[in-house]
Order: sequence, then C-alpha cells, then structure tokens
Amino acid sequence: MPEAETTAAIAEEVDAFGFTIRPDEAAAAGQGKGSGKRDRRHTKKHLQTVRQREIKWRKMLDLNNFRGGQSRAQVEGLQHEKFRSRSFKGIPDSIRGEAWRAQLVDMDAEQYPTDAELNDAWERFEDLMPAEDTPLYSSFEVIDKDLHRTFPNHEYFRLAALPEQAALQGQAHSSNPNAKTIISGQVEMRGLLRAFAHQHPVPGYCQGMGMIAGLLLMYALRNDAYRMFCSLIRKEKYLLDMFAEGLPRVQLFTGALDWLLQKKLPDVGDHLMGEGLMAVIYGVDWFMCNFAKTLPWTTVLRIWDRYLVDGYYVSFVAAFEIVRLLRPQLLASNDMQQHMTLLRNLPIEVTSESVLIPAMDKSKLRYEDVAAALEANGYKPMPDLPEPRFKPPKPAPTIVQAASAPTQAEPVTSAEADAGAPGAPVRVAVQPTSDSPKHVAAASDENQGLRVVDVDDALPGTASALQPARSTESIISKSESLDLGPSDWV
Amino acid sequence: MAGAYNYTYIFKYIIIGDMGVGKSCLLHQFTEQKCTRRSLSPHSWLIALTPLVLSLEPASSRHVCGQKIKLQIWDTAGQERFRAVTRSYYRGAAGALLVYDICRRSTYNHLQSWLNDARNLTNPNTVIFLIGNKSDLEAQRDVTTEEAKQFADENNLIFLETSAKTGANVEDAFLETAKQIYQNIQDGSLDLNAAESGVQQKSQSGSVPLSEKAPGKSGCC
Repeated sequence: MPEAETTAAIAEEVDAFGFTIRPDEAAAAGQGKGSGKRDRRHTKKHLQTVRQREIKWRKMLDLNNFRGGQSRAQVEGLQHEKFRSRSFKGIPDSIRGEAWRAQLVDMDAEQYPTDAELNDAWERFEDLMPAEDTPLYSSFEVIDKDLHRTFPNHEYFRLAALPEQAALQGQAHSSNPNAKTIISGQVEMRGLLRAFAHQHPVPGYCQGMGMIAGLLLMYALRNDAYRMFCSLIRKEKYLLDMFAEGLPRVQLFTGALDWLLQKKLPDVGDHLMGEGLMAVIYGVDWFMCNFAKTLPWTTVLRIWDRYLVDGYYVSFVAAFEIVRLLRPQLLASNDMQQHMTLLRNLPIEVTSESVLIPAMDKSKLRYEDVAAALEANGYKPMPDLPEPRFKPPKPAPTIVQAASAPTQAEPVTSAEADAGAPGAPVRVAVQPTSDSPKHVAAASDENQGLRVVDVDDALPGTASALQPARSTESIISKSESLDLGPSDWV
Repeated sequence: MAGAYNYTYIFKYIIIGDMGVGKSCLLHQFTEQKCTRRSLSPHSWLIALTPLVLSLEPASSRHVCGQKIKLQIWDTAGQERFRAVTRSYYRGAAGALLVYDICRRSTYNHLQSWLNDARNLTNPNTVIFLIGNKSDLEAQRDVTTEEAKQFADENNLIFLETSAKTGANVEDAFLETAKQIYQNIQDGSLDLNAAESGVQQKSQSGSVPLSEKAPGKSGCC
C-alpha cells in the first residue's frame, strides 16, 4: 500500500522554490508554504515589476560586467541606502544569491578559502574519519543525524526518491560514496557543515546550523555558500555566539524579546509572562535560524533580504510583529497550553508574506528599542571573530597511482572558478594528491553502512533502509488531510 | 472543532534524553500507529530545536481508566548545548519520558543528569518514565535490562524497553504514564489547581477555541 502512494507522492508538484506542495496546500490555493503568493506572482504587472527590479539590481551589483558580483566593500561604497531600500522591497529571486553574497563575503578583506582551495578539500572532508570521542567526531555524528531532517520537504535536500533517480544523481556525483542514498543537496550540506566544524572547532556543529546552510545552498554554489555561512556565524551582526556552548545569544535574544513585549505590548507581554510563557520556550528557532524553520518560504526570504542588511534587529521586528498579530488570540484565553500550541504552529493568516512583511514595515518597534532591550538584558557587543586560516584535513595516504582525481571533485562551473581567482595557482599544484579511486571506494562502503543505520533508526516506519525516501514521501503524501492549521492542535 | 472538547483532561508530557536515542521517533511511532488520520506533517521531521508541540485527541483505544485524555507532547532537542534552553520546558509537565538508547552506554550514563533536571524542574508528582529504546537491536545491546531496571527501582521510575522501529511497548509507555498521572489525580496527590500540575481539566480550559478561523476539523483521531 505505501508503494502506490509513494509513487504518487514522487510525481508531486513542487512550488517555485522547490518545496513539495502538499495536496492539501494545492487544494487550498494561497494557503501553503511557498505557494502563498502564487496568484500575485503570475500577474503581468508583478512580473514586470520583478523584471525592472532585476535590471536595477544587476546594474547595482554590476553583474553585467563582473561575473562574480561585487565584494561587500564595493557594495558599501556603492550607495548603501539604495541597496538597503531595495533589499527591503525584496530582492528578485534570480539576483538573491548574488546580492546576499555581496553583503556577506569580502574576499579581499578576509581570509576566506579560495575556490581552488575548497574544490581541493571537499573530498577530503567527505572522507575524513575523526577519532572517536573527539568533539569533531560528535559534530560529524550529529551532522549525519540531522541531514535527512533538514528541509525534508525540499526537492534538493530530500532523499533520492526512486532508484532511477538515485542512479541519475549517482552519475552526476559518481565519485561520491553516498550517491545512492543521498542526493546532491544533502551531500553538499554535509560537506559544508563538516568543513565548518573542522575549521571552527568552536562552535563546531550545533543543531540548527543545517537550516542556514540549506538556505544558503539554495541560493549559492557550495564554495560561496560555505564562505557565506562562515561569515554569518562569525559576525556580531548576525549569528555570532548564537550556537556557542549554552546558546548565550539565544538566551539573550529571547530574554530581550520578553522585555520588549512587556514594554511595548504590555497587555500581551504581561499576559504571556504571567503564564510563564517566555520567549525562550517558543522562540528559540525564531532567532537561531532567523525564521528559516518557522515561516512560509516567501516570508522567510523577505526577512532574510532585510536581515542581511540590518542584522538581528530584523529578527526582533519580525518576532515582535508575529506576537502582535496574534494578540487577539493570545488575549482571548488564559490557557498556556493553547498559547504554546498557537505559537509553535503559527497560522498562515499571520505568517504569510502579504501580512507579516507589511506589518514589519509599519512596525512601531524601533531599532533603538531593540538596543535598549538588549542592554537591559546584559548585552555586551562582541567583535566579529576573524576567519581562521583555512586548514583542510591532510589528504589520506595515496595508494600508488595518483589517478584521475580532478574530475571527481565537485563540479564547478567556469563562472565560479573565475570568481575565486586570487591565490588559486598555489593550490592547483596540490591537486594530484587527491585520493585514489580505490581508497574512495573503501571509504564509501563504510560511510554507507553508517547511513543505513542512521536512516533506519530515524524513520521508524521504514522496513528497509534502502528506501528511506519512500517513507518520508508517504508521510508527506498522507498528511494531506491535515494542514497545520491550529484546529488540529487545539 | 468537533473533537476539541472531546476529552476530560490534558496532560503535558516532555520527552528528554541524549541526542539520537530516538525521542522524535518514539513520538512519531506513537502518533502514527493508532491515528487513522495522519497527525504528523513533514514538520515533524525537522529537528526539534524548540519543542515540537503536538496535541493528540484521545482515540477510542486510548481511554485511560475510562477517561478521555488529550496529550500535549513536547519533544526537545537532545544536543548537549541545548540543555540550558531546554530546562525552561520542564515547567508544568505532568509526565516526563526519559529516553536512552540500549545500544549506547553513554546515553545510559547520562540518565542521572537528565533525571536531576527532571526532578529539579518539575513538581514532585511528575511521573517520570524511563524508556530504553531500540530494543529491536538486541545484538548491539550495551545496557542490560536488569541494570536499567535496578536504576529505575532505585529512582522510583517506571521502566520499559521499547522499539520505536517496531512499535514494541511504545504505546504502553505513553499510556502507562497517563495512567499513573490519572491515579495521582484520583488519590489526590496531584493538585489540579496548581499551575505546575501539568494537567488541565476540560472545564477549566473552557475558553474560546483559538482557531476559529481555521476550517472546521476534528482532531487526528
């Protein structure tokens, strides 16, 4: 029985962003993740607006002349206000990746690894087997555990759906040991997270990072996504200290949100506090993933467009407005459990792009208020962490023939290779030391063994680990009768 | 909203334990098994950074001592660094499912610290249920049933070994916890009026349903 349903599920539609459209969402048009703006998206006028914005953005980022886009320094020099106001209007999706990168990564000023260095290193991260009981080992373990539950409803990150699809994917990544069980998105995410954990022992890997890595990988190639990811986690303005031991920033920010609610929205703030419903209970992922885990995708993107310009202030405005929009419902009862259910399953009437974004525009919450809230909660500004010098793991011992290694590396478009230019030649010389095919094969078996246990163990309904995707799929397809509307949860 | 008032009590549960012991899977198994309509969306496959709050309507098979009981289950993140944050979730839990992996001794060794949290942060009557998960992997067993049983006895916990994969004992664990909580209510040791009790009676929560806007729909069962 699951078979039939699964097949149906695989043919399922995905929305403009690659998220599976659940049948119930398709039915209730304009009600679902990502599909919310479908109607507006297709009007001629809207498309024209987007087109005009694309042209302006291309010009602003100078994409027509310089393929790699501009560095952050250049953008800052270039009419920051214009950049800001345009970001607030929403970056056209085709430009988004470049625009985000331009703000996050300044190759000239910081010690980011070049494309050549990264291309050379990916496979080594893939093969790396840290000793047991080391922090790195546990980081890697957690990464593997989390892979299949990060954006499982996105076509790029979910498990290979059918053997044929897996085979196709396998061709594209023939060198990859896990090509049969994991498709490219997961492989890339794993590589990115492993590399980060290896390069930054503090904070290492922390649950929640995967959502951010996933978001970036949807908009940038892996090398860029890696640098953007490092930048986000290292910078005060964004996620510095968010994932550190004890999650200090999470505690600070949720505490500050409580403070803001009590000062600026006292009826709701006091009401929630009176029930002991503090933001740390309902809002951890709001700040930790900057809503990537929480809101409909179109809304997530609009918030991230702003977030990259103004940093965590934007998260506060979004969080504040969400609670404000829920005000009538929150004040209607004294039932903490109902409130919790509501806050953890935000209704679309509040979260959709057309509601939340205008609310944020009109928000009465000023950045000064946020600053005051942070200060009241013991905030101390911290300097951005410097990017450590890139130290990839040593190549594994080569077995005789140094082989046809370069083809095995991550396929890189020429555009990307061009972009990373400085420093590249030095590294090219190192390339022949890549692993021989034999070694790769050996590692692959072991890795695969690991995955099977993993997947199996995490998908209890699955009889065979060889078909992990099917069970995920069938869950998606079978959930049709329930949207996450609060009615299910009351 | 037909099902919304179809219960006598709501119990809050919290599921705790190290990462990878199968907390989310237990929850998944429990909800999928008996519900005729799927109660989990793909969201449940996301990492439980903040509590995954799941409210289950009582199925007919889930009558505990003749009562219809609705469970609100808080699944939590297991990674060590979340502990500081997770601690705020214990308040008002009527039941705590403390889970370890019978194949990984380290998860068993950490039980004491989880138990300390549970004891310190919940009320004295909170029912704590010790669950040794992954009992289907007998060959890889690293913690014997006897020693876990002894640990449970010493600490006054109820104990079961379960398999989130096969479903063995999963339902029992959830329902037995409910039964214990109910007994505590009956014998008066759990004061329903205390905010911390983790139990709500239907009559007490008789406020306006929050989700009037949502299309009419009964609970998952």
